[in-house]
Amino acid sequence: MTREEEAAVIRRVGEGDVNAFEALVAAYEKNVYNLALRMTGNAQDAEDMAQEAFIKAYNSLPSFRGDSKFSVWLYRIVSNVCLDFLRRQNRRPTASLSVEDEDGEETQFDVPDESQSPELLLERSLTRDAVQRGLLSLSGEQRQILLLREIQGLSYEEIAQALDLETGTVKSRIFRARKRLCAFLLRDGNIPDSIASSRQGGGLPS
Amino acid sequence: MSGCTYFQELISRVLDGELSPDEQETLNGHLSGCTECRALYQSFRALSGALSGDLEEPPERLRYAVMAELRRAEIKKKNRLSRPGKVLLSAAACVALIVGLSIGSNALRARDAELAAPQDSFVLAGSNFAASARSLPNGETRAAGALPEAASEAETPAAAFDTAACTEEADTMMDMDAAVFDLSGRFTKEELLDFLGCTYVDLRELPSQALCRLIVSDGGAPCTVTVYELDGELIYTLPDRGAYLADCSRAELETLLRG
Repeated sequence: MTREEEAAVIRRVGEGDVNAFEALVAAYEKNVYNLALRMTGNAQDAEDMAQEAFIKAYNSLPSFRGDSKFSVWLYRIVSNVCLDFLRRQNRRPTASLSVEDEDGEETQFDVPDESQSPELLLERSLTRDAVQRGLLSLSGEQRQILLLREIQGLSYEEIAQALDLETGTVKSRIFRARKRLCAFLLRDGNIPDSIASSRQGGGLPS
Repeated sequence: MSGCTYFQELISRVLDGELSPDEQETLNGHLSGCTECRALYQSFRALSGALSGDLEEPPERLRYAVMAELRRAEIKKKNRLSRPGKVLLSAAACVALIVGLSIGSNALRARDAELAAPQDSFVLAGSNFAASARSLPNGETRAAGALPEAASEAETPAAAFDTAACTEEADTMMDMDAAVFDLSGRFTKEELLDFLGCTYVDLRELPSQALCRLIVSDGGAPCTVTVYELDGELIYTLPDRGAYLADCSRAELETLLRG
C-alpha cells in the first residue's frame, strides 16, 4: 500500500467506514504480530496484544494527523500496548544476567567471559529461541526500542518521534540493548560465531 | 578496551545505516586494525539478522477477530440508548434486575461448576448466550451449540445455576472456576464502573447464568456487580440499578481480574 492509498483508507475509516480498516490490518498484521511476539515472548499474548493494538489504533485514528508515517504511529501503539501488558503482568525477564560466572572477566563489550571452549560454542547457533530468551532478558523499554529498529526498520528519527525521545538517546539505547543482548547470548552459551572465532584466534584483551 | 567505546557505538549505528560518510571512513580504518571490534561488528550483525529475518505469519484469525470486534463496537455505539446517571429504573430494567438478583443468589450457592473441555475453534464473537439452557438441574437440557460438554461429575443439582458461562475455551480464558471475584481490596465501585462504562440497556431478560460476579467496596460496604455475557457483549447489573452494557471486552475484564 502506498502512502497515498494508506491516507485514502484512513480517510474512509474516519468517515465511518469501519470495513476500510481491514486493509490497514492486512497490511500491518505481520509486522505488528511479530513485534508483539518479540515483546511478549509467546504467541498467545502476541495475538492478544496485536488485537488490542489494532483496536486501539482504530479508536485513536482521529488523533493521527499524518505528520509521521502511519506505520510509525502504529508501532508506537503496539509497543506501548505490549509494555503496558508486561507491566501489568509484572513479568520479569524469564532469564537474567545474574547467573554466577566462574571467572567474571569481561570483554570489551561487557560480555562476561566464560569457560566453555570456543569449539563448543561454535557449534551452537544463534537460534530463534536463544535470541528470544535474550530479548526477554532486556528491560521492556530496551526491547521496545531495539525491535522498532530491527523488526520494523524504523530510522532513529522515526523511533525518536514514536517514543518522544531525542535521537541521541535512541542511538545510545539501541547500542546498549545490543550490547546487553550480546552479553546474554554469550552467557547463555549462544554466542555469535564471530565472538567465539575471534577468541579462538587472538584471545581476550586485558 | 574502553578506548573502543566510541567505535562500538559506530558499529551499532553503521548497521542501522545511521553513519555519516566521515564516520564510516573512521570506522573502517579502526576495524582494519582491531580484531575485537571486528568481532563485535560481526556479532551485532548476526544479532540483527536473527532479529529482523524470518518473521512469523500471524494467525489468520487475528484479522477477523480485530474486524469483528470493531464492527461490534460500532454497532454498540449506534445502538446506545441512553446514559444512566441517576435515572429511574424502567420497568424492563426492574425485570432485568430481579432476574439478575435471583440468578445471583443461586449462583452463590453453586460456584464449583463444571469444567469446560478445551475447544479448538476460536470464537470470534465470544458468544455464550446459547448456554442458557444449562441452568436446568442435572444438566439434562443443553442448548444446541452451547458450551463444550462439561465434566459431568461436577454437575450436581446444587451446581445447577452455576455461572456456567465462566467455563470457556481453556486456551484463551483464565480459570473461571471461581466465579466470584472479590475485588474489594483493589477497586471501589466507582472505579469498577469507570472501567466497565455505563451504557444503559433496555433488556427484557438476562442470560440465565452469570459470567461472574465482582465484589467491590461501595463506601466501605461490599457491592456485587454481576456480569453476564450476552451475544458476545458483556452486560452487568447492579443491585440498585438496571442492566448496563460494559464498554470493555471480555478479554479486558479478564485482564483486570488477573491484574
